Amino acid sequence: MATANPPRTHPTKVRIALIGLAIVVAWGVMAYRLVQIQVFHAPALAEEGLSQRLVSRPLAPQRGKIFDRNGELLAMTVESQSLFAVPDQVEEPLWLAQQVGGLLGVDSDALYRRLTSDTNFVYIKRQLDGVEAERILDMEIRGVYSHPEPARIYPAGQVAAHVTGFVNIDGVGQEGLELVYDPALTGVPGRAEFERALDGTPILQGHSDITPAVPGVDLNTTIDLPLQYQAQEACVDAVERTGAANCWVVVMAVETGEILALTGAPVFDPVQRQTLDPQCEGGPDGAVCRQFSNFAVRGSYEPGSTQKLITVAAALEEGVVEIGTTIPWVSDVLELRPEACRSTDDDLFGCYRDFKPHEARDMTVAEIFTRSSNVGTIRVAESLGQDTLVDYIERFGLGSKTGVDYTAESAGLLNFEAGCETCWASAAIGYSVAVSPLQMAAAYAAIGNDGTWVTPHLVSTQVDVDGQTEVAGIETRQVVSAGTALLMRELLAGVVERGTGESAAVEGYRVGGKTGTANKLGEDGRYIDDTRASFVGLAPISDPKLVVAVVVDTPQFEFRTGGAAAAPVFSEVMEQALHRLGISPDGSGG
Amino acid sequence: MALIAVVAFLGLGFARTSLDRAAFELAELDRAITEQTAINRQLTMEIARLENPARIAPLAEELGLVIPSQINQILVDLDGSGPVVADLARDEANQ
Repeated sequence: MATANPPRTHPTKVRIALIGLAIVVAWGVMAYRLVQIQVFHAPALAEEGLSQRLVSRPLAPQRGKIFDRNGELLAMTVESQSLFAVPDQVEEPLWLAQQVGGLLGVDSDALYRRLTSDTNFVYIKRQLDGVEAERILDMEIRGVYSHPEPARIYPAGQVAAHVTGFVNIDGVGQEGLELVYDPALTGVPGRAEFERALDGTPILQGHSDITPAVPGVDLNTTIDLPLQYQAQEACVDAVERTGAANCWVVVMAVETGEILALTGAPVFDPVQRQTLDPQCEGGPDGAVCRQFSNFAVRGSYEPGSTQKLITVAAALEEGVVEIGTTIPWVSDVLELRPEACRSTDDDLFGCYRDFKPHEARDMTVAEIFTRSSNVGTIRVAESLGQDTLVDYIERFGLGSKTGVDYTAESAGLLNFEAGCETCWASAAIGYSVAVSPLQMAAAYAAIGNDGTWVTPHLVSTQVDVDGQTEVAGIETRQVVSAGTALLMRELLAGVVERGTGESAAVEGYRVGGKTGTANKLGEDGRYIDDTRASFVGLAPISDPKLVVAVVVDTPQFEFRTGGAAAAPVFSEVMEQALHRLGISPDGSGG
Repeated sequence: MALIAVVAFLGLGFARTSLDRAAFELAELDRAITEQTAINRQLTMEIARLENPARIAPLAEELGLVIPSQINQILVDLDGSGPVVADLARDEANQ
């Protein structure tokens, strides 16, 4: 009996159908995935891919340059190389510390300690010039590398250090103009974003987005570098000659308030600051070393007789005296508090003596000023009254900051505490007030500028990518009339021609000025023999262009007075300044 | 049609090659500018260092030079009587 075979096509068809279905499903899944990737996730995935190739680097702005008034460079930034080591890769740290440390002048022991410490990055020395770095890299020492780094350079070295100040190792302003103008000098960082290949090189046709850095502004200062150098040399010589602790000089144009020189001694190198006096580096209470703490702007001292200019100018302006007015019977000692005068070594506050003893006699105001009589000046101030005297002291800018573009300027001090019966008399002759050399220079400049006081300043223009802009904030104010200023200039000339300031004379020019010799206060609050000797003066007296203020701190022996210590420095600096600026002679002084 | 396609393809390839070459040249020029700028800065700094009065003055002194102590100024007389040379001398160096 024959049996029929089951149909064979059914399972085959089913399998074919199943395979077809599987293929369709697979294609469907792939199509779905394709659409998902290419359509829905495409932007995110493209971004992710790009981010793996993209790098973003900050672009450091070039720090602005600082120039003197003639375009001489005072500060600029150049590219340097900083050497570093990866301690894990260094095979012989002791050899490296001794050999390389020795070649670069680095403390070998300290370098060895850092190389063997638990760290993976050690600077060997930062900011080397290219040649020096290349010399080390040519030794092909394993684990030693370099990277480029900007370094601040001061081509004028110590000459302009008191003006420019300096930056720290990371290029941030720490002192002087570098600190005052730090935000402007720094500029604005940029950013570069670009695609890179596996080896790190940029893909030339790839994506790139560059926001360029905005360089810092350049500063054009009012400083005259050769004059700054000559003033500094005169100060250095004065310190040597007189045995003084410090000397400071300010040279200023009377009409514009431009500071042509601002310097002192001792000096310092703005880069190699390890040459500073170690006693004041990191001194008590974080005291700043006196060598780079610019006393001419930040310091304050009792000016002594240079203050008499303000007292006499006020009296003339108020009409209480004329220069020919005779003050009767001017003695060499004046006692404003009973029994204050005991002896020259043991006087109490309220006793005033002239520097040199003399017989009591009638003296004109001009003679009082020329001979620098303390007693005579107090007699003049008496007729003026305390309130008016204080008003004029403030008008001349004492007791408040001048507004100079320099950090931490001193406002000085007017010490008129309530109940102080004799402070007005002390102030009339330069005690009970404290001023900075710059304040005094500005006050004398006002007399040279027909009674108009001008804000002293160090920067004349800033130059950015858009061009040059004048520095704002220069104030002027009339403190006395032009007539009074003219009379005071004649009195100042008299001091040099026949008074206490004869050694301030300058050949070919009529100069005028005033000596100042003020005893310093001791630790017990009593005056001691040490002095601050000063001289402030103008030239040419017929049409003043320049004021020079000199302060010599603690000159020794016969140099204790302003006439002996400061006036010769004034003469030297003023002569150089007049010659350098081509100012015509107006007389035959000297 | 096929010819146009081939020419367009070759043209595109040539343009792309030219663009890449130009980009390489540009990168090379950028590097050269950076290098020359750095050299320029170094030279500017070197000039400023050499012009530092603190360097020049001692050298000048060694050579026997002194700061001029005699100033001659020509004062022009406006009334027509001729120039006057004012000799304002303190010629210590020649004494």
